[in-house]
Amino acid sequence: MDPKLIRNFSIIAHIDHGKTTISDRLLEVTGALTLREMRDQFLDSMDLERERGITIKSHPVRLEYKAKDGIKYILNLLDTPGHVDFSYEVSRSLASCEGAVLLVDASQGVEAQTMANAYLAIDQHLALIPVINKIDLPNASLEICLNQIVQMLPVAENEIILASGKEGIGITDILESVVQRVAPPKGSFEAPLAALIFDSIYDSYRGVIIYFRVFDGSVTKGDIIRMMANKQEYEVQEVGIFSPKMSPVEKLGVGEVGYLVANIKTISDVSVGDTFTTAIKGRTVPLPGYRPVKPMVYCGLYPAVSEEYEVLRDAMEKMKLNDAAFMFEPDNSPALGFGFRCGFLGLLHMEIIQERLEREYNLTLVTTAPNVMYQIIMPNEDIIEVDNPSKFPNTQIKECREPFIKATIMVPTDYVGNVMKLATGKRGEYIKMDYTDQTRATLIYHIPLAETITDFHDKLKSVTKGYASLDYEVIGYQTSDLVKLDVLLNGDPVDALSIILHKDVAYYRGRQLVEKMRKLIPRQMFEVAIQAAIGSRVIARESVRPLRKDVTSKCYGGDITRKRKLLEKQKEGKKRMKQIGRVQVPQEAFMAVLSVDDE
Amino acid sequence: MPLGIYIHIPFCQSKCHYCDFVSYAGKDLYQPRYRDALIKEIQLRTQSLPFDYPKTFSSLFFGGGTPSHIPPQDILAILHQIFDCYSPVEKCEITLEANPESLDSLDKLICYKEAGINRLSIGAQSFDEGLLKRMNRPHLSEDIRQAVKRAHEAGFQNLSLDLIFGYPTQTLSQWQDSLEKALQCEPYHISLYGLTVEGDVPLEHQLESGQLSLPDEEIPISMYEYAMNRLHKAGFHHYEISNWSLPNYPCQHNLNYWKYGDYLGFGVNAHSYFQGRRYWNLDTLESYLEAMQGDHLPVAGEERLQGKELMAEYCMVTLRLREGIQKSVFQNLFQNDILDVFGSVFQPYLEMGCLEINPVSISLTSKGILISDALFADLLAED
Repeated sequence: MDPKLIRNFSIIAHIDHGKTTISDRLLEVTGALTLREMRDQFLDSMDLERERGITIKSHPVRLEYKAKDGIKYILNLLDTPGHVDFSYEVSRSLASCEGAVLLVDASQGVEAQTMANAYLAIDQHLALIPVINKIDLPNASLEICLNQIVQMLPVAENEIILASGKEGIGITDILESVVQRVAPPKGSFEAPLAALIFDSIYDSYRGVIIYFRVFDGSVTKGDIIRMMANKQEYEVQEVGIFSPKMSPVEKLGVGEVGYLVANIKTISDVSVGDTFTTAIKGRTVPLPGYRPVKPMVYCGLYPAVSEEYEVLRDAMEKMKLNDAAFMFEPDNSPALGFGFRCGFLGLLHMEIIQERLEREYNLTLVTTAPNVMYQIIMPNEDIIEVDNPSKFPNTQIKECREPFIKATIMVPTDYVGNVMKLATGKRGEYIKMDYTDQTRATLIYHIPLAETITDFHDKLKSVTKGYASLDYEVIGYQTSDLVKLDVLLNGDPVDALSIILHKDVAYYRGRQLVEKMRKLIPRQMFEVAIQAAIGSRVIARESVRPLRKDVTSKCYGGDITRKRKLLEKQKEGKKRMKQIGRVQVPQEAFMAVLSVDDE
Repeated sequence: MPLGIYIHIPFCQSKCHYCDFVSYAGKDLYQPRYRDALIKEIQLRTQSLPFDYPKTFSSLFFGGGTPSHIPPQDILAILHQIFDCYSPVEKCEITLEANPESLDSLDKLICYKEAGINRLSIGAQSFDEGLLKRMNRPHLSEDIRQAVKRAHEAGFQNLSLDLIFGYPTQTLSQWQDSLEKALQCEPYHISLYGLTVEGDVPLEHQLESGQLSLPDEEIPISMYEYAMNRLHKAGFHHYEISNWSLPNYPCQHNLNYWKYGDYLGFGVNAHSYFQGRRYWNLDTLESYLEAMQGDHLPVAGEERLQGKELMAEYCMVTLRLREGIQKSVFQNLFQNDILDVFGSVFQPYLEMGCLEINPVSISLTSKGILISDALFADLLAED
């Protein structure tokens, strides 16, 4: 395949700005399957994406397009997720592209996160194709959108394409622009093979399936390839393209995007972002991968029944395979037994992994409250990294540091006051405010990451009637006055319930937390005392009265089945509980701190 | 092997606010059709039994609904059909559930007596006028006394009274008073039912709207504990969680349920347990009548439990009896030592004083009765 005829591109869009519809149209116009058909065929395992209406994982598609110059081009479309927590995934896709379509909703305007991703693309020298979508909407404001794009991005107004995925307007213009403005892949067929792994999945019959982009050389069935990160070697059994379904081809060369199967059984042998080359006369230096991902949010995941530990570990390994951002390591909690400490990009990522583990592997999990990674400076200047509140040292420490983010919030000027109030309530430090135009402002705050991982995004949406958009980047650690709050059940501290929080809010939240837990822990055959303590000082106490009565008077007319089923149902609920000492603690209690309100 | 027969009569004069049973007020027009359907079901089902099955029964129970609400001739006709198909054992217990307002004539009671009914279970529920009204009961406390008087006159000795405790607004002294008045009726048997709100009933809506509220659990507990003492003093034997009787007068029909005996249920939503198989009939009057019109058995579902689930259900049912589980019976039925199977479930309850285990049996203590559902749920969760 002549690289001159290949174009690799992504679509960058904010959530709900219509990327799926536009992609659907591109597939339709080029005669590939419709996205709907594709979904029916491939994406059934990701029910969650459809239920939540968001795209999380990238699915590459190869389109054949006969351009106006009469030549047939191969366009590889690499999908990107839209949610702010998944910007890392975007950077992965962009690393394999030469161009990006930037989609802006005509009724919403440019959003903070779209800008962040646009700059990411510019940094990587990608051609940017700005598209204003949904121009058919009655509340579309084209003038404002055009102005915003021209002011904020290095593009000219005449480069902006007006489109409507729904009405099929501008689709050919997009395809033509991709052909004309996105550079064909550079690279040499003679050079040693260099291919970037941008994703991988696990198939129970074929093992690991690698998704990759060739930069130099080519890969053919029968080649022996070497992973550059760990030097493992494999014989290629099949290479293929996404047409859009996986179809085997003889070989893939410079600029091409495809998959390969090489009898790889050990999931951890493949890391996304790695380069592979040929075993003989291979390349010696890996391609510049993308910035290694760092989890932002940590929590404990434990099987509700200890027998499921092994199943959970296998499931997480498979999950990690196509989700490089998901990290885990074994952990042992005195209260919850053997489990894992896991790292995630954000709360949504955490919820999705947890739900997928439960659904796809039929597991019942206990999740502890999420937290960030803290740094503790010891008196001898040693730095201890704490991703688990139970590891917070009990000895004397010099100081604590917590990660801060730079939050970029774009909002209509009417809501600036509300946003400021919210950010201040989250211990945010005001940095600056710019006006994009008369109606929109961009606010910059430095906020402790810990304050934003739970409900900040939701609250931001609610105080701005949904108009605000947020992008963030971690800017590093700053000194903070932090304490560890322990929760005791019947006098015994429960490690899995400990949290780290700022001293100023500790008392208030401690009391709220204990109150909340009193409502969540069901009555048991004995009294359950719940205490919150900082060090040895108890700051709040509640108790759950013992259960004295749980009896059915009548099994009417011999209807024993109904009674049994009622009790069995009641017991199903109990299965989600973890026994700590003698106390049955429901899953919700571990997350109670998330719903403690600051009002 | 004794066989119990249950016949469901789903008609009432009015619907009580707490009642979630299959019963209808205002559908009296269907009574003749229902009687005929029942007769047909008895014939059909009997034909479907194994040919060598000894067709004798040891107890028969007309439940409802309000069996005394339909004409006594209909009861008679149904009974005739039973006697045509099955023969009663000696001293066979035949019970009819009745409501005070419908035991309104001596003739009716004499008719029951002559038909062979030898036990009446009267739904008194309370002797407090205010509470009866709140429950939407169609009678006054005086009606209960009159009904009992007539029953005695007609020659019924073996009477049972039902009372409800733990109803919203009910006080301990009201309860004590109702219990005394019930004892004055000289029943042989008393059933005391703690209120449970299940299903879409008017009481549920009254609770939801805040019109009424459930009492703190200490109130029904004190009512129950009071009744245990009082009935003990009156010479009653507490033989099942909700049931007390004079010596030798427990309800044989219910005992058969708790002892895991076979029973056949006829009528809408009636349940049967026959040779290890549980099955249940359609649960609306319309669907039941329709099925019978087409000469179909009106079965809606069935199950046959096995292994540990069966053992757990056996324990759930048998532990309701104060005498509890006989270890040797369990061993014979399941070829397993009960403590090998459920010892670890029992242990914490034993430690809390909720269970008593002796060399021959395992039973709930008075404290244990109150939390018996928690134990049953734990037994059922064992897999």
